[in-house]
Amino acid sequence: MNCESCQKLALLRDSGELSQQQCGALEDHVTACPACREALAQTAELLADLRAARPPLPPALRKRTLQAADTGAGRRRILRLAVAALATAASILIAFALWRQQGPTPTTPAPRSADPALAAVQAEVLPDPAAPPFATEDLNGEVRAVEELLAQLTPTPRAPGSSGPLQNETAVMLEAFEAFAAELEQIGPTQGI
Amino acid sequence: MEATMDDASLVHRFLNGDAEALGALYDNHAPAIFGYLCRRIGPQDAEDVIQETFVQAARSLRSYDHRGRLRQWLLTIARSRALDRIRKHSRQRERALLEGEEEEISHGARSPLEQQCDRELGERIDAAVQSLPERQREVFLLRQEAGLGFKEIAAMLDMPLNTALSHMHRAVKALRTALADLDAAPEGEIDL
Repeated sequence: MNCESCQKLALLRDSGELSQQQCGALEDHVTACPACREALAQTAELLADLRAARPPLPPALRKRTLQAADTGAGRRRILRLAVAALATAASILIAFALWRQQGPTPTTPAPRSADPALAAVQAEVLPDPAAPPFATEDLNGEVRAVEELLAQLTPTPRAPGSSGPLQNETAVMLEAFEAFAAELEQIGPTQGI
Repeated sequence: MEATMDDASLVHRFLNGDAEALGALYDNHAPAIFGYLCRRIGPQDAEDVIQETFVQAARSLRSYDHRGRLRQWLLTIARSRALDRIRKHSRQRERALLEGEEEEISHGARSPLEQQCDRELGERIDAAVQSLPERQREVFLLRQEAGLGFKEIAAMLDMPLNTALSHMHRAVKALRTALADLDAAPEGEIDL
């Protein structure tokens, strides 16, 4: 082992990265070489002095840093909640739009009880089987208003050959939601600090 | 290599909503990272970068893969932020030179910490460290101030282990020469 290798191995020993076998070889060289012994002693002294002169961490910095980290985490929690709320709202709108397109599932009227008292209660709470079925057209005015509002907000041209206006509105809503969610995700990381 | 044993459980606790765990991680690693940053970019910027580093870490701990030491991961963030500041100050200095300004750009109000760091010894050490070639300085500070091992330094700086050792060896030799008279100074004159 030459002196330069000895100095480098000593650095590895001080950082705890030297094997026991290499440590033995290093010790053998240092014992036999006064120049290396002197150089290693000077190095150890210098590094200890530099460690002692290390600038201390300001105590107030801890509180400031942890507060800043917590504020960032709070902002991201709000963002996640906003995205979840938007996703829920969009799901409800989409489900409603699909239901509107397919129409309500026909239901069989519940059989009336032979017990007159129970039949009287049923007459109060159950729909009249003789009444006409629920007409979705009753909501057409409100749905059209919502569709027009959405069309104004996102004026996307309709694709030729699309199967119907409600499917287009669903696609528009989805696109708008996805764009908004992507925008929120982008805002989060940049405003964290 | 202190604190490694606790890091994994602290990260786990933090990710499960224990905000105190981040404080413990700060206590484990901030002093060493601050020491590195102080010598690299000065105390005022070092404070800002420490804050930015831990805010960024809190946001990204979910992506920490536990393959390297947490200290190394935090230093990667801190170094990147520090280099941004070095580049920014360098551009400001160039602009000021072009405009004929002579004032110091990076020094605003003097904090107590800066006053402390401006003492004679701190200035001498800083000057000696700053006079090292870039790679030597980086290896030296990552080892001496940040406490990384040489294998970690070699990986971080993308150099062979032997090169990292050579840089450290040369840096120590240069600093021994530059700061040789520290111990020879009369007692009380230099506070070591």
